[in-house]
Amino acid sequence: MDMKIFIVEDDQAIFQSLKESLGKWGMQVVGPGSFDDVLGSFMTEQPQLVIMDIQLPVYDGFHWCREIRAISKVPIIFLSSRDHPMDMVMSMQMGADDYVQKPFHSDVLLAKIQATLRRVYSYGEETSDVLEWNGAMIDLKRGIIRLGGKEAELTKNEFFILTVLVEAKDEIVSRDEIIRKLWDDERFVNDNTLTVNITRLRQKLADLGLGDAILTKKGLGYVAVTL
Amino acid sequence: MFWAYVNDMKSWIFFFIAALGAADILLWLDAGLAVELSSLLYMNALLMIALAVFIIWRYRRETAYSRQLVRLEGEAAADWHELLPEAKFKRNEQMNEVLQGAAATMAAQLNELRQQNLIQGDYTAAWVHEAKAPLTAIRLLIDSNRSAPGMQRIEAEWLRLFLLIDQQLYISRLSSLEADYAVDKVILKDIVAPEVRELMAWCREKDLEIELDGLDINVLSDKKWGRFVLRQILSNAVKYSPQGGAIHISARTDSTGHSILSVKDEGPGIPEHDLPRIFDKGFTGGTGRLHNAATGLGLYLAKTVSDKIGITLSADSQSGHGTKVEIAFPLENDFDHIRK
Repeated sequence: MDMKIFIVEDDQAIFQSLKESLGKWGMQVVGPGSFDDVLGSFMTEQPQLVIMDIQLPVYDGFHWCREIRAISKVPIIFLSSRDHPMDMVMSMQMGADDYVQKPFHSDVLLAKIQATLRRVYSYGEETSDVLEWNGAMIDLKRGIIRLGGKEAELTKNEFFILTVLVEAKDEIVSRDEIIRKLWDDERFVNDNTLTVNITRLRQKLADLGLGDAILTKKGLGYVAVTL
Repeated sequence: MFWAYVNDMKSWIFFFIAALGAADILLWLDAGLAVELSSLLYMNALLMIALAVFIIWRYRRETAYSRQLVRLEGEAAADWHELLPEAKFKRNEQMNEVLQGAAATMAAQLNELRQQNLIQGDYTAAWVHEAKAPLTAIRLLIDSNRSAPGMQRIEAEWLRLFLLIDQQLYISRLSSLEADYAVDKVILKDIVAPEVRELMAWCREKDLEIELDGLDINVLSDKKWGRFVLRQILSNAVKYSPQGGAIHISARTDSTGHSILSVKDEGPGIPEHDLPRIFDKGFTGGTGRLHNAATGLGLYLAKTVSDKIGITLSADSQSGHGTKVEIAFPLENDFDHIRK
C-alpha cells in the first residue's frame, strides 16, 4: 500500500528534509498549495496521514485540525516548537493522534508515523517474531538463538547487536550506527564496550558453529554474512 | 521620641526661657516696679511648669502623625500609601500628598518595569521557538547525511547550540515556575534515559559510557523541571569526564525514605575548598577555568530550580577521584509543606 503523507509546515527547509527522508521509506509527501486553503488541498490529495505544524501563517494548526476532523478520521500528528503541556492537551482534544516536539530526530518522527500507520491501516505488519539466519532460529520475543538443539545464552546487548546485524541482511553496519541504535534502545555504551560485546557474541556463536558468521570490515564496521 | 521632639523645639523653648529671663531682669531692675523676690520666683516657677505642660501637650498633638507614620513603616504593607495617618496640620497634609505622589510614581515605574520584563520574557520565549525551526532543519539534515565526513562533530556542536537555546527558554520561565509545574509520580528511568539520549552526540564525541542502575523506582517530581535539573548535572558530568570514561547513574532510598539519584563521573574532581561553592552563581572553580566551556550557570540554575521544586542537591568529590552529585527527591508530605 502506497502511503501519501500530507505535511503542513511553513518552514521550507524542514518540509524538504522531511520529504526526502520519508521518501527514502517509500512514502509520498505532499504539502498544501497555500496556507489559506489547507482544507482544500487536503481534500484533493486524500492523504493517509497528516503532519501538522501548530504555528502557521493565516490560521494555526489547531484550526486546520478541527476543519479536517469535521470531515475525516485521517490520523494527524502535530509538530511544534512549543513544549507547554497545554499545547499537547489541546492538540489531543482536537483529535490529534500524536505530538512531536521540535527539534526532533527524523528516526523519532518516522517511528511515530509508522506506529500510527500500523495502527490505523495495519501497514507493514509482516514483521515476524522469529528470524532465520544460517540455519539458526533467532527468537526475538524470548531473546535467544538456537541451532540444531543447541542454544546460545546471549546478554541483552549481544542479542540486540546480533539482530541489528542480521536484519541488515549481508550489508555492512558501521560501529557508529550500532552504537547509535544501542543508545536509541537506552543502552548507553561506548566503543570499548561494543568491542567487548562483539567479541563475546562471536565466541558464543562459535559454540553454535557460526564462528565466522560475523565479519569485521576494517574501518567500515561489521557484517553478518549468509554462509 | 519625646526628647527628639524637645530637641526639635529647642529654639522655641530657648526663646521662652530667654523672654522669661529678660522679663525677670526688667522687673528686677525697673525701680518703678517693686516686686518681691518670692513673687518673682513664684511667677517663674509657674511659667516654667506651664511651659512643661504645654510642651507635653504639644508633643502629643504634633507628633501623633509621625508616630503613626513610623508604625505604618514597620508593617510595610504593599498598600501603605492608602493607610497614611490623618493629617492634623497643614504640613502633615503636604507630607501625605508628597508620599502619595511618590508612591504613585514608584508604582508606575514598577508597573512599567514589570511590563518590560513580561515583554522581554515573551520575546525570549518567541525567540526560542523561532530558533527551533532552523534547529529542526539542521537536525534533519544531519540525520539524513550521517555518513558525511565531520558530521559527528557538527552534531556535537548542534547539541551544544540546542542546549544553550533550550536553557534560555527555561531561564525565561524561572520567574513563573510556581505556576508552571505539576508534581507527579514518575519512574526515575523516564527522567534519566531521555536526558542521556539527548546528550548522545556529545557522549559519542567523548566516547563515554553511561551506566544506569536501579532506576525503576517511582519518585515525585515535575517531569519537565526534574529533567532540567538532571540535564545540568549530567552535562557537567559529561563536560568533565575524560575521553573514553564512564558515568554511573544509580538510585537508592535513604533511611528517611527519600529517593536519591546519584550521578558519578570519573573527572578530575573538585578540590575540597571549592565544594561548598559549586552551586553559587558564576562559580567555575579551578577545574572550570581549565575548560573554557564553564559558564558557572548550569549548577546554579539546577540549584535554584531544585529549591523551588523540593529537590535537594549535594556534591561529594575528592580531587582526582571524580565527582558524585546526589539528587534527593521529596516525599509526599514534603510537598504539602511546599505547596502551602
